[in-house]
Amino acid sequence: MLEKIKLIFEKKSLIWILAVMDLKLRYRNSILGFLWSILEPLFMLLVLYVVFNYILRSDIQNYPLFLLIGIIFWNTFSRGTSMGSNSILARSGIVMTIPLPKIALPFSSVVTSFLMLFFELIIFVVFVIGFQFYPPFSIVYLPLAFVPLFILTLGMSLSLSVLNVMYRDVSYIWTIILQAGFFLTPIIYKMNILPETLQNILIFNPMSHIVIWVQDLTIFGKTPSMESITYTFGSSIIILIIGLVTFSKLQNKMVDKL
Amino acid sequence: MKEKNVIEVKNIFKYYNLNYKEKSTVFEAVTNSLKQKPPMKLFPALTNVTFDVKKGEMLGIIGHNGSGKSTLLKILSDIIKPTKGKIKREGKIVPFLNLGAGFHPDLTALENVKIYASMLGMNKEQIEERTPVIFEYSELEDFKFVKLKNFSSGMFARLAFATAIQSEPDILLIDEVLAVGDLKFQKKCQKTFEDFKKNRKTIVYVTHNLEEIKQYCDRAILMFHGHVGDIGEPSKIVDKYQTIVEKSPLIHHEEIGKKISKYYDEILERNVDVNGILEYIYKIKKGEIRLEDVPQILKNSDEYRQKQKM
Repeated sequence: MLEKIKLIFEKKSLIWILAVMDLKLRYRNSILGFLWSILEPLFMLLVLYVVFNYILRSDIQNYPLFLLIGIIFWNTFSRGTSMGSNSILARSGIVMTIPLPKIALPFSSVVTSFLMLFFELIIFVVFVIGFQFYPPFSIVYLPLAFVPLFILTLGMSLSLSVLNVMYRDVSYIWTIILQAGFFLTPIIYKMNILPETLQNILIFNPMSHIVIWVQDLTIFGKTPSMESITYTFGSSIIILIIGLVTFSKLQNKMVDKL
Repeated sequence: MKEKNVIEVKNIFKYYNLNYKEKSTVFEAVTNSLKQKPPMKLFPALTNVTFDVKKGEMLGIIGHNGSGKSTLLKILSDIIKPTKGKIKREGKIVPFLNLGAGFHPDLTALENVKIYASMLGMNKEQIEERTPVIFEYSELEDFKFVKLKNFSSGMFARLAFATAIQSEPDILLIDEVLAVGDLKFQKKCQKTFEDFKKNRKTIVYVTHNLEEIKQYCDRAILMFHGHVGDIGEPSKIVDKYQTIVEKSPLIHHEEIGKKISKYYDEILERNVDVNGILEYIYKIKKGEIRLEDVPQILKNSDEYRQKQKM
């Protein structure tokens, strides 16, 4: 395990180059190019805003910003894991001809997803200024959320990337889970509108914690409890360990199935 | 002077399960676990392959299609693992197996070189330093900012090969991809091979160009149905290969092919060395024995073995 982690640090330039290439390819061939990465969450925001502000009447203050920050962080996870789940299969040509550390492939997908997160956070800043909203001081703790989000996204991506080679429908199944996950994570609503039994179940999802953190930190000026921090970090690290073990167990077996 | 071995391959076996559905799904995995599993049908891609490669040597590998040449190179470069057997390597191995892998048609030549170089293990400083050399060698300086989809296959090969040799390999593995280059480039490759030799670097070279094998290689391996058919002096190996496969495609000839392949399966089951068969084919072509005698001879040797066991 330690060797693996050492290997990742040695290959950081490979991971970085792959991630940047991915980003370039994503936007090079579309007319609006880079704008698409911004338009996508904004369009989703618009739809959700109309639905919840006018039709379902949400009483959350600064609702558009609340929605946007949640969507941005959820998107990072969902984009990272779905790109990660395809990362090896999509590059089977490389895996079969160049002996590179395979772990670099899902890793670079997660890095790509985080690069996009930083672009989207710039949009968020533009919105904050546009709405003339003065963020609370707690916003300086926002980077705290990046760490478990990265660990969690990487851990899931590692497992999914090899499993998707073994069983080709894993990425489709994961897409469905992500769709359900979007509604089962308090992104468009606040946890307290749900019945308590449901709350107790949904709080097991570390993504719920991360989304609540970022909403609290940027809008409501609340800092996460120690309990929540411990749980989120702990569960993310466990998922990463499961990912690393799955990956190293299956990576040689997987090559014969590519 | 005795040379050190940089690659030692000992009793390598590689099996592929043909009943293994390549594109299995979670759904199938669940439903199949309820059904009875079909018996494994193993295809031996490599059987008991043993050889070594010496430092500074250029080793050629020839053989018919499907004889296991590419599988062997993939195992040497640690892309796939052998089912059984041991392999020792020394130094940095750079495989040059398949044009196009790691290259993206929508990115420029320069961007592609950077990506490919980093996949071959170069770090940022090395890439910065060597990119000009790569473009000079491949004579593509004017095409740095051209998207790769506008490249001809020859230009492509030049660029990829130039990048591969700049990654400072101790051992270079090449799988018949240089043939697309023009005469000038092939000359250049040949000069590079000579430089490699001078610098005591090792090359393992798979090709169907038998003249090249004779001209450049120090030794050659003949692969035959996943076995090492023979290993030794290139001209001798090439002659053997030509006699067996090229001049008269005996193993592809329907009637004879069936007989041999029928027997070949049996032989595999009995775990008897297939080199025997190879020898027989060679002798038939030389006119030393008749084809009709082969099954009998093999049967005799089979019985002989059994007697020896008892």
